[in-house]
Amino acid sequence: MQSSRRVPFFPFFISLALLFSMVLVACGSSAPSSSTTGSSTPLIKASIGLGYIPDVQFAPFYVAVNQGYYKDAGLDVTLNHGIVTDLMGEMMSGKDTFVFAGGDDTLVARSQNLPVVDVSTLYQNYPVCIIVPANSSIKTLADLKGHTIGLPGLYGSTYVGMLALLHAGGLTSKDVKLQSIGFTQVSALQKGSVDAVVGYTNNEPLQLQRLGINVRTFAVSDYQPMVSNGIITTESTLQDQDKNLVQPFVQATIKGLNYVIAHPAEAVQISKSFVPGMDVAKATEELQATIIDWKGNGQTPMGQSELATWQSMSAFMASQKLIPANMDVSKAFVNS
Amino acid sequence: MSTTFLQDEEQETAPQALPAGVSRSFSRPRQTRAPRQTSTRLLTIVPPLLLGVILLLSWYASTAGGSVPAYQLPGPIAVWNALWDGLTSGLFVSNAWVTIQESLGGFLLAMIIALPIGYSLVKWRLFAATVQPYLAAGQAVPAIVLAPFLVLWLGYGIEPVVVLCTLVVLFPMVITTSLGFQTIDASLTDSARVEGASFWPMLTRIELPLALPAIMAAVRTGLTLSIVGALVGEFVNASDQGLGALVQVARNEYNAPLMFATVVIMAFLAAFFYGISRGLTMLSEKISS
Repeated sequence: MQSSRRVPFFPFFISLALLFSMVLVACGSSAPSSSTTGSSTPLIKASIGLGYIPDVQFAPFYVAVNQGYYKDAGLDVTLNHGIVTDLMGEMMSGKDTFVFAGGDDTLVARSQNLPVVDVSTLYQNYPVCIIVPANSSIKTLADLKGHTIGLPGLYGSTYVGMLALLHAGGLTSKDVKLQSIGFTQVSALQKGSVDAVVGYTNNEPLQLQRLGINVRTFAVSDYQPMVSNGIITTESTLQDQDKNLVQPFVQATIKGLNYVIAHPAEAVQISKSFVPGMDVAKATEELQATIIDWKGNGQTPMGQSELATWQSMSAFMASQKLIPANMDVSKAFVNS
Repeated sequence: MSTTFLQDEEQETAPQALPAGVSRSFSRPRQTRAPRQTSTRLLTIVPPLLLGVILLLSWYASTAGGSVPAYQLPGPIAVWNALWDGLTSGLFVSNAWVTIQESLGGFLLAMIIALPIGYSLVKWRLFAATVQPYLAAGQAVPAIVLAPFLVLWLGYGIEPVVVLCTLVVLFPMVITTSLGFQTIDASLTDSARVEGASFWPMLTRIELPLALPAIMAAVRTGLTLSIVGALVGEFVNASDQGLGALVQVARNEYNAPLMFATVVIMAFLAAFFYGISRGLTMLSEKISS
């Protein structure tokens, strides 16, 4: 009787185990980092929910991860993406430590008894704007009367920013025709489906220019003080882990922000591994526009916000019935 | 030992003689129909009502103590207040009307397309061979993927939502309709053909009546799914009107009670549509009998 050829078990098992170990090591290898801490203290795990999709505007976080700033601060940071309202919910459920969201999001959440607090504001300019074709008859905000404005939806920062601009022009939402267009602002303006769109100074105007469409913008930051995107966390995290988690995270992120401002080209290259399919030229252009919004007029220190700005924003949002009147905004933020 | 048919009937209806030694200890009248109908009616009302009350009390108990945060699960009273405010202010009525238009529009468009396609798939082999691979592929592609393109092609407003709703509802209706025509007894149609029935009498007097139960099943499915299609369309197309749009607004305002209240309205709307479809089914059964 012929016996079948069999693979010897012991060598096969050892080979498989070695291969498996190599795969595990490859998966667990860390990104290139700068100096090591030289300490055996385990890193504190933290995570932050960033905006909708990976984008070069989140370069400070990408740099802080890539350059080891978080690791040097004793943190093991994970970056997540999603929609701000969902990210807030995940943070409240303990699935994320921080969320990157606007001051208006913070006040709306607090008005619904979500105990969130802004611990560092990265954008000094509120980046929302109304965009019109360069040859549009809309020369001032008051000229928007009777025109159609396309915006992602009747909610969120674009909606609040649009209301701020209408208010500055002496108008209300009843004086214009609002059209929810999702994130199709570029094609909507290109096709002339709407007379104006609401977008971000570092995004849609640049896209339209690339398509050969000259535009003019009305930036919210020129008309209404608003607190823009910053690092949000829960009151309990701030209370219980300020020194060992919140402050180190904020400082490492600010370090990343300063690096990006000083070395934008390198920051774009670092961001490539975080942003699938990134176009370097477009990302560079977007980053340059974003840096302008991060720096603002230079009067407020990087990463901080002013009580007067919060109060002005709160009063405006209350006048639009977006939040209750007389909210105590002093508890809505800290300057870490 | 055969008896006549009538004698057999009489024997069947006469009370059976008991075996020797066994007497009737009591005589019990046969149960009448009315108490049985009452108990059936009670069975359809009381248990679900009891379960609803238990769920409501559990909901209240879990939220009243604060063990579940309000932003995750608002209490029933907060939801009721949001529901009442929305109904009395007209917020739900105006947005529900938009959703109803979109879902009915999508359903009717799907029905106009699905019935001829379902019939043709069964009647013409060439048509079936040509179209079926695309139908199968189309079923596999989620309609939601096409939503951004629909906005680009059709613009804003309810049109892209109506078309998206049509796409959601279309394939199940085609399948159910074609099954209905497929399962018609061939001997009936063959007999009619032998008798000289042409296309139109065959369709209207034999095929359609026989396929009607399946067509009504397609209507039931389509009508109920159309609500889902309309809501998905509103979510994806960032509509500014409709119950789906209202959920988005409430979500972005962290207004959980309004979100839940809107979901309650959606559920009632879906149940209402289901009720209509059941009514249509019963009507068609009456007509065909």
